[in-house]
Amino acid sequence: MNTGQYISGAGHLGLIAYMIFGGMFLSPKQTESVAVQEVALISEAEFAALSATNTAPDTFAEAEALKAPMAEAAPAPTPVEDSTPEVQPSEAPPPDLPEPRPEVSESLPAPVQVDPTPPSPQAEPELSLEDPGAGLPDSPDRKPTPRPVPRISDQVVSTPEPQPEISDAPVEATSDTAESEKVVEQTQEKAAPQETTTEIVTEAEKPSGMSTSPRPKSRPANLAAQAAAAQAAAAQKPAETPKPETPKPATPKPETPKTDSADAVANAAAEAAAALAAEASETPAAPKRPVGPPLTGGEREGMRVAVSQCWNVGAMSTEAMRTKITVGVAMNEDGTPQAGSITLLGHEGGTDAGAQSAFEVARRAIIRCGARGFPLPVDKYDHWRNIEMTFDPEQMRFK
Amino acid sequence: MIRPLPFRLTTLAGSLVCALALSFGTASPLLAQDPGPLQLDITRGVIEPLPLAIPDFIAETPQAAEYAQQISDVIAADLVGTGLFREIPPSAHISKVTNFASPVQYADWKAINAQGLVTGAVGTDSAGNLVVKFRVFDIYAEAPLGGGLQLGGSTASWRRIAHKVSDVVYSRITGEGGYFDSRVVFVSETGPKNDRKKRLGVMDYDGAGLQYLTDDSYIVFAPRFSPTGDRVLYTSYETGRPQITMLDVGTVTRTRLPVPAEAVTFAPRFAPDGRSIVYSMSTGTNTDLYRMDIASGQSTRLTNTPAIETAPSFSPDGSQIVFESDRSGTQQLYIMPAGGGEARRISNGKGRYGTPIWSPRGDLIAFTKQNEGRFHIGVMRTDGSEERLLTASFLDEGPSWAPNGRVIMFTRESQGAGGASALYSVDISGRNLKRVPTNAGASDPAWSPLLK
Repeated sequence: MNTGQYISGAGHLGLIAYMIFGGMFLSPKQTESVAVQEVALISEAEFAALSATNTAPDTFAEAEALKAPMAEAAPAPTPVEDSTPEVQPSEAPPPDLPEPRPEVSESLPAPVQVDPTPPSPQAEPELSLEDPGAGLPDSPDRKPTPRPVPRISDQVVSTPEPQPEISDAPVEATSDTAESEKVVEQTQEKAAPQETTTEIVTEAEKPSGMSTSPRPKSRPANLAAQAAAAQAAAAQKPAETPKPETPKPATPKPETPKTDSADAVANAAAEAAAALAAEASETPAAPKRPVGPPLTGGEREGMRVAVSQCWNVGAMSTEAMRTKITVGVAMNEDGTPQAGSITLLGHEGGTDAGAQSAFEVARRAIIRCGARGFPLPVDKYDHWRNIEMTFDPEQMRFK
Repeated sequence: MIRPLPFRLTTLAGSLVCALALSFGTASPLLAQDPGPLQLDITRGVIEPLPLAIPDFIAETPQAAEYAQQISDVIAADLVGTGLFREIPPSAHISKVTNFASPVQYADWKAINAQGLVTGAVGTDSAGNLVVKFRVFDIYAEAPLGGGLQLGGSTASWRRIAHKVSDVVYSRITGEGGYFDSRVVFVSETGPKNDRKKRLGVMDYDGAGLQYLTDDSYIVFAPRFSPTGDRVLYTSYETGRPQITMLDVGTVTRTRLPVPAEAVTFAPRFAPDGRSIVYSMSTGTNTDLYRMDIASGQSTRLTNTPAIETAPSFSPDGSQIVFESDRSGTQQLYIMPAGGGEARRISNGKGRYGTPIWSPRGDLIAFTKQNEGRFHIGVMRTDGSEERLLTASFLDEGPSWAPNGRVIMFTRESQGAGGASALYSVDISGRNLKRVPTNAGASDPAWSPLLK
């Protein structure tokens, strides 16, 4: 009996020791790769661009030049802005948008072909993302020590920056012409190997994590989402490079410029398109898309910090500072909040007026810091499709 | 020997299962249903001025042109002066507001990070009076904050109109009442420290529109506004000894109050209903608190101790009085019912406490504190808890609340023979300490309520 238990104990210890220290030998090599990323992000050109913000007058001149066409084309969108408080009016543009989409597809056959092909490359990375995502919570649960490794993989996997870059590339590619297919595939291939390589290490231990069944289901859902997301991205980008797009609409049809040209409405249109995309993707995708693992503590903390940075309690009334409120918001898949969906779900302490005042501050924080998308992993979208945030100013009260 | 083997195998297998469960167990089922909304608790924010865009108001008539820009400047000064807002300079504005009715280009204001926008227009009616229209917008909500408002008044009162606009803007953005359309009565001081001339002055909260209510032939101190702002109580040496006096601000007529001619009376303050006052009266070496009905002139005694009781201040509902007393051996703060009765001590920290004044919101009491040779202005809750010192200097004293209970104005005197006193204001958070502009030395400020 004793010898058997000794053997068993030794086996357990060995197994545990392997689990604890096994990953440590592999980690140092990966840390170097992280350092390489950080270095690559910093460039003199970007620094110059940052410092060039002082040269605002130039951009203003451009913006003013853009403004004039906006004001002329604006009449239709401007009522939308005025009526935004009602939230519903924002749905008014969407009915217009579905029409232009098929028209755009008619005018530009190439992007239509692009749509079927990209889903497959995206479907593959999504599956690979799910598996790595499944591995992430595993490792922290297993042991505290290997966490640095998953964190490293988190940065590579979740890096929100490469994703927008991916979206950037396809947008420009579609604007060029029919070569969009190649561009899309290339950019995604570049991103995919980074994700898989880091996670292959973990996957080697657990190859059985694959679940192939969701693949066919997710494709149609992604089609609609991608089509909408592509248009959303295209609508957002024109603000930066409006010139190349204006020639395009001129050639195909006059209706496309409505969505592309109006710079003033660019944001509103983008939000509307994104919201419509979310709506389109919600109904089919919700049941079909596989629900990834829940957000890690780091991801939740990142989101918390992102909102906190814009939660400015300086101008809040004393009454509002006594009020703890809960705010609900529906999110788009790109990490931006749907402005019209932000609602006050409830409050504790304080008065209704204080809660309303606090809600306005919270809404401002969500919209302002979410304008460029919160740092949330897209593969876990189902976990943050809806977010309930509790804003508690207790610690911010002056004492 | 046979049994242990399967036992070992089962335990080994069990341990493997456990290990696997540890490693894979928490992986959520891939096809789980809707996980529900993500719950986040936000407890830490930032405190920074809110960026506001205040384009120059549009002049709708030629006569209004000279006032349009002045009004926008005063509004910007009011709001920025609170420390809660930061004005985005007009040179950075992308879209120029040229028509009050034209829709707001929210994207243009978002691009320069404006979170609030104030637009307005100034016109004149047939009688030559100013008509000011304005709107407030929440840029990120892409919606107006409340409806548009229109104010009218004579051209001479353009500053008051601007202050009223500021009050509305401040209130709509912060959810708190404003305090810009208010006045401050104070003691204007000129001359050297050993021969200082003092007279009552009244001015806008920002130092503009100074008027004098008395000449400098006798010393005056501690003026207090009535709840409606039409009268001022103060203490005057006009008769050679300190006596409380009431003054009508509109007509600048003084009224001696019916107190014994041989007594020394001081530290008067109105009750919230404006019909009675509370003050200190010294007879011999003893000082106690009295309450007087203004109409009848009848005084009733509120305290009866051998100690010195002074600096009374009513609670906003008129039911209680906070005052200072040295009955414990040192100056401390006490609260008693407005009709007199047992008082309870609320100040418990080190040092001496004096000149308490109840916040118009009723939640806080401001006071002067002297500790270890330094003076402080502080606030505490009405039960004495959560004491916070807002300032520290050689000599700070005499706090007075802004109408919204968020700002305190007080006297700060500099050290030395050439020292002069000046008025300062500070937010109850302790931030935004700044000097109130006055043309000469100033002390003993008392803030009026918001003007009607």
